[in-house]
Amino acid sequence: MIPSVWAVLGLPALWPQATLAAAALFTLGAGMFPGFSRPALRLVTVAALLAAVFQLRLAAPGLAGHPLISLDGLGLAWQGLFCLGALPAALLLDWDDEVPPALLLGSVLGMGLLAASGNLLLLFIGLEFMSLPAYSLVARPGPRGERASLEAAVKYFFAGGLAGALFLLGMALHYHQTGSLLLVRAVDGPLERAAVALMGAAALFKVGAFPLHFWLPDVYESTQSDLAGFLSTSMKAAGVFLLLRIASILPASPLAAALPWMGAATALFGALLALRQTRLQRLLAYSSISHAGNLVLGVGAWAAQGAMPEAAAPVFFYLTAYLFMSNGIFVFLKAAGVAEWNDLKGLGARNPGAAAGAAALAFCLAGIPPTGGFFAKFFVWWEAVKAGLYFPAAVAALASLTALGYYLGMVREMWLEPASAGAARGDDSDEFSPERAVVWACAAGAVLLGLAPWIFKGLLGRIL
Amino acid sequence: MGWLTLLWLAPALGGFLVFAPGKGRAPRWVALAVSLGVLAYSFWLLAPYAPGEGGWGLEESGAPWLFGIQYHLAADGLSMVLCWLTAFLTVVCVLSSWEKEVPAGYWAAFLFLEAAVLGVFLARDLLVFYIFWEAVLLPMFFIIGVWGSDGRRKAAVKFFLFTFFGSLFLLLGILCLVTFHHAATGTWTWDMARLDGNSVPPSAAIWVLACLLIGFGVKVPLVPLHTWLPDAHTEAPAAGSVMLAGVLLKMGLYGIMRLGFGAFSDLTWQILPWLAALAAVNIIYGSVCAAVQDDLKRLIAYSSVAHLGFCVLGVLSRTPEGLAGGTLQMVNHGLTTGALFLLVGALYERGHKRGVGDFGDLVDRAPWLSVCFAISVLASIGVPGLNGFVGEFMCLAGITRVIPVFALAGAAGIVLSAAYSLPAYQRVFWGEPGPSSVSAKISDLGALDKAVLGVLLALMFWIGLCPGPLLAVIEPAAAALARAPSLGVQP
Amino acid sequence: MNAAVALLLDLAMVLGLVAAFSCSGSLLGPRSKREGDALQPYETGMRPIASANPRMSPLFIRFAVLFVVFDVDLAFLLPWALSRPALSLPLAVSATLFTGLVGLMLAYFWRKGALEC
Repeated sequence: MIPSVWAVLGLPALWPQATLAAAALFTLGAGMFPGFSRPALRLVTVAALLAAVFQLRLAAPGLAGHPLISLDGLGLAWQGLFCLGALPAALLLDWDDEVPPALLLGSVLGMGLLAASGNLLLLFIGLEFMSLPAYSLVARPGPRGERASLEAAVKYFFAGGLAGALFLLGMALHYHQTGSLLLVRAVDGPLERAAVALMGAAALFKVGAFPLHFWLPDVYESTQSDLAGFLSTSMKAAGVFLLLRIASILPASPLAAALPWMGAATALFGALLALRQTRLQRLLAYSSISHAGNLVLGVGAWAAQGAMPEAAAPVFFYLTAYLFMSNGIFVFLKAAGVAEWNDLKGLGARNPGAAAGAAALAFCLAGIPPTGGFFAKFFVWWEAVKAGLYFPAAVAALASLTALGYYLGMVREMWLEPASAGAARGDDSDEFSPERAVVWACAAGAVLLGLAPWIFKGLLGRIL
Repeated sequence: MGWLTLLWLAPALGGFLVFAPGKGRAPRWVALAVSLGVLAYSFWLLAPYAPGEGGWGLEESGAPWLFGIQYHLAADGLSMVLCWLTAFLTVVCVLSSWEKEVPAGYWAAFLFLEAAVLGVFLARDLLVFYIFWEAVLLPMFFIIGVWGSDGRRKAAVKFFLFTFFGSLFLLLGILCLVTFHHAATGTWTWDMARLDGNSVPPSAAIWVLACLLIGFGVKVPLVPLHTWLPDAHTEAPAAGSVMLAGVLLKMGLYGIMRLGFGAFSDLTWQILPWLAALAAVNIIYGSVCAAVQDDLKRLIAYSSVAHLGFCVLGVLSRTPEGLAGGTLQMVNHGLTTGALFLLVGALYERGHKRGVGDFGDLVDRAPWLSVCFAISVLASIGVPGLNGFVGEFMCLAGITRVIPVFALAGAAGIVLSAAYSLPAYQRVFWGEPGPSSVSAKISDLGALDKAVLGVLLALMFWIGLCPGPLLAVIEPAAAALARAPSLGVQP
Repeated sequence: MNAAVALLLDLAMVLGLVAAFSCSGSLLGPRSKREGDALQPYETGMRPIASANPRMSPLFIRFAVLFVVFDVDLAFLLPWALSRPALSLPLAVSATLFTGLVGLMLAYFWRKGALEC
C-alpha cells in the first residue's frame, strides 16, 4: 500500500501533521520574500499549533493494523501536549528570520510522527525529525553568548546521535528476533530484552534521566529561556512517550523493572544538584531532571502494572501539569529579566506582577496543594505504591522535599527579602508584556489543574 | 454549584476582587464587605440547619472522580461553629488592621486564608480535606513572612516546613486508610464518615494512627511538635496571630475528632492513657513555658499550647460532654486569645515593644485597654461567668468520667494559667514602669478597636452566662461522634 | 543453544579477533627503530607534500549536504517509478506534490544564496 496524499487527507487523525507541515513550508516560503512581516509569521506559527490542537479534538483513534501508522488514544493525547508545549516558544521566541519558527514547527511535526507511528521505523524517523531542528534551535545565540550555544548544541547533537545509534541497534536486534518492525508486544527472550533495553536507553536520553542526563543542564542553560521551556515540556513529553511505547513492547523486561529505581535516583539527583545552583536557568534545568525522575518512576509503575494504554493517565496528568509549570517558570525568567539567584531578591516589591505568577508556579513545581503539581506527584507516587514500589516512591517523595529547598527559597527571595543594592534587574514596567501574560496564563492553568482537576476529566477521558 | 461551595468560594473570589479597585483605601473596603458578607451568609446558611442522621446536616457532592475521590462537602454542628468562628475572626482581623498601611495583597491573603479554612471545616472527602488543609499554609506563609515583625522570614519558613512536614505524614496516613479500605472492601472511598480503622490490619493500625496524629499534632500543637508555634505567633502581625491561634490550631483538633476516632475507635481506647498524658504534658509544659516568657506574644502563644491541651483532654474522653466541651473550648480559645493578641498588637503598635517589662502603670493612661485586657485574661484563666469556665469545666467533666487522674492535670493547669497571666497583667497595667518603659507612648484604644473588642467581650460573657444556644448546635454532633463505630480491632 | 549465550559468544569472538589482530602486529612484526623516515606514511615512496586532512572550505560541505539531500529525495522517487504503479490520479498528485516540495527546497536554497560560491 503506497501512502498517498489522499490517504492523509482522508484521515482526520493525520490532519494535525499535515497542518504543521504546511505551516512549516509556508514559513520557509515566506522567508524567501524579505518584505514579509515578522508578526504575521509569528501569527501563522501560533495559529498552526492551535489549529493542530483543534484538529486533534476532531480525530478519533484508528488505523489499527496499518503497517506504518497507528493512532491510539495515547498518541492523540500526547500530540496535544506537544503542540501546547510549543505555544509559549512560538509566541515569545526572539528571531529575526523565518528559520526558527519553521524549525519549531518541524520539531513538533516530528513529535507528531512519533506519536502517530505504529512501526519502529517511523518511530525512529519521528525521533530524529523532532531532534534535528532542536539541535539547530539550540545552536542559535542564547543568553550566554554564541560560543556557549554552539557548544551546547554540539553536545546535544552528539548525545542525540548516541541515542539514535542505540535506538537503531536495539531496533536491529528486535527485527532479528521478531522479523517485524511493527510496534506490538513481543515474545520475551534475552535478545528481545537487550533490544528493549537499548531502545529504552535512547528514550531515557531524550527524557534526561540520570545517568544519561549530562547534556541537559548545558543545553537548557544556553538557550533562550522560552526555548528551554519547549525542550523541557514538549521534548520531554516526546521522550516519555517513546519510553511508554518501548516499555509496552515488553512490559516485564529488565528495563521496565529498572525504571522506577532509575526514576527515583534521577529525582533525588536532580533535586540535590539544583540546590547548589546560582544561575536560575541552570537551576531550573536540574529541577527539570528531578521532575523527569518522577515521570520515569511513573512509567515504571505503569509498566509494572501491565502497561495498559489507558493506565498511563497519571503520567499524562503529570506532563499536562508540568507543561504549564515548566513553560511558565522558564518564561518568567524572561518576563522579569532575572538570571541569577540574587536577582530574585525583593522582586515581589519591584515587579509584583511577574513575581506573583512565579510564586504560584514555584508552589506548583514544589507540589503543594491546591496546585496541579500536587496531583501530578500524588497520582504518580500512588501508582508506584499500588505497584508495590514503596521504596522508589519514598525516595521520590524525599527528592520532592529536597526540592522544597529551592522552590520555597525562590518565593522567599522574591517576597520576603528586601531588594539588595546590587540587584537592579527585573524592575517593573507597567506596560503590557506578552511574557507576563504567558506567565500568568501558565500559572492559572497549573493552579486550576489542582483546584478542579475534574474539569480535565474530558481531556483525560481520551485515554482513560 | 451548591450553597456550601459558595461559602468557601465567596472569600476566595473576594480575594481576587480585592485587587480590582487598585491602590488606596478601596481594597480594605472590599475586604470588609466580603468578610462581613461571608459571616452573614454563614449564619443564614447554617443556622436553620436541623441535624440529620449521624449529625450531618447540609451536604453537597459532585460526581465521583478517579479512585473514588469525590468533591464532597458536609456540615454538622462541629463544622458549623468552627465556620462561624472563622468567618467572625476574619471580620475581626480586617477591622483590627484597618489603619495599617498595607497593599491589597494583605487583605487578599486573609480572604484566601478564610476560604481555605472554611474548606477544611466543610470537606468530607479526605482528599478535598487535605487540599484545603495544605492550602491554608500558603496565605499564612505570606502573612507571617511579608507583614510580620523582625524575625518574620525565619519564622515563616519554619512554620511552612514544620507544618508541611506534618502534612506529609497526614497524607501518608490518609493514603493508608484509603488503600487498606480498598483492600478490605474492594471499593475506593475517601469519605471520612465511611472510612474506619476496621480494615487496617492490626499490625499496621498503630502506625497509621501515628501518622494521622503526627499530621494533626503539628497543627494543634501537641508538645514535642510545637516548636514552630511560638515563633510563628510572635513574628506574625497581630491579625495573623489571631487567625493562627484562633482558627488554624483548631484544624488539628478538628482533624483528630473527625479521623482519629471514627477511624480507630478501639485502638484509641487502648492508647488513650498515653494520649491523655501527652495532653496533660501540653497543659503543664505550656503553662510553665508561658510563665517564664518576657515577650507578651510569646506568653500568649505558650498559653495557647496549654489551652489546646484542655481541648485535647476533652476530645480524648469521647464522652458527649467532653467532645462538646472540647469544641466549645475551641471557640472560646479563639475568642479570648484573639482578643489578647489584638490587645498586645495595640500595645506593640503604639510602643513598638512587646516585653512585659517594657510597660507599667498603663491603667491610668489606657483604661479601656486595661479593662479589656483584664476581662480577656480572666476569660482565658477560666473564671466562672466567662466563656473559658464553661469549656474547661466540660472538658474536665468529660475526662473525669474516663480517666479521672488526668482531670488533676487540668485543674493544675487552671491554677497555673492564673499564675502566669495575672502577674503579667499586673506588671503591665499596674506595675512601676521600668527605666526602659515605653508607657508614655501608649494611648487608649480608638473607637474602632473599642467596637471590635466590645463585640468579642460581649461574646465571652454571652457564652459564659448562657452557653445553651451554642451548645445546642454542638451537642448533636458531639453525641454522634461519641457513638462512633467501635467495632474492629480488639485488644 | 541459548540465544543470549550465542550473542555473548559472538561478542567475545569479535572482541577477541580485534584484539588478536591489533596485538599481533607488534608481537610478530620486526621491531622498527622509530627513526628517520620510519614514521612517514609511506616509508619508501613519495614524500607527502601536505597534511592528509586539510581544512576544507565550508562551502564544500554545504554543497555536499545539498547534494545528499536531493540525492536522497530522488532515491525515494526512483523505486516509485520503477514499481510502475497504475497511474491513478491520487498517485500522480502525490508524486507531483513530492517533486514540488523538492523544487520548493531548491528555490529556497537558491533564494537564500546557498548556491553562491
